Amino acid sequence: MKRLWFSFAMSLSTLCAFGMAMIPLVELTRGLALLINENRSAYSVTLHLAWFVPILLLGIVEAIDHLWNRRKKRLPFWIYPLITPAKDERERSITASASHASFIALWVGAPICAGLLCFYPLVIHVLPVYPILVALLLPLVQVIVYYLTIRKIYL
Amino acid sequence: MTVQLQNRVKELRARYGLTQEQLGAQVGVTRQTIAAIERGNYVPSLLLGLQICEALHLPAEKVFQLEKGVAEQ
Repeated sequence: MKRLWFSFAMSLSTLCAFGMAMIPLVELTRGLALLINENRSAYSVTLHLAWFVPILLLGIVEAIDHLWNRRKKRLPFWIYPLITPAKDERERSITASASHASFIALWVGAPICAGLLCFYPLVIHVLPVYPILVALLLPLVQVIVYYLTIRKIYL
Repeated sequence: MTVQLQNRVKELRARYGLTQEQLGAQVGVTRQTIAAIERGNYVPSLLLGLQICEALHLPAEKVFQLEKGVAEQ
């Protein structure tokens, strides 16, 4: 059960870290768009690399974990879908129903997210990263649904 | 009409002095799976059911029984 919650926390961390890494890229795009529109002769655009640090650190740790476990021929600890229990028929069955529930969540979540994107023009100045947040809602919902279903294995 | 599979795994396991972990190891499943079968939360496959019977040295009908009931409206 501990491993399950740890894996869940790692999934959320990875999503957050990815979202953070997208922030400077969105700002960069907006900066470039302004430059093109204003047609200046001299200009500068800043890219804050600090936002990339969390995803880089997570990436390095997950790559080491993946290579280490591959050498030991074990299931990687953090790789996505971060935990796929399949030790016996019951675990395989619950993993299958969790994957199914996660897939259904995608079909429900995708139209909702598409609808939420309609509000982008309203929040573009307040929250420029709004599309990133909406796009990340999909994996977030999937991860939550997946883990809520798969925790039955340990009950 | 509903049909449910009842089992005596918990009782028989105790008779043989086996823990859930030990029985699980004998039949190649986790402790949680044995617990789920005992609680009636999980119906094992035919293969696993027969393996459990073999581990308990009993025929299938002594371990698993069908219970028929009337479906709730």
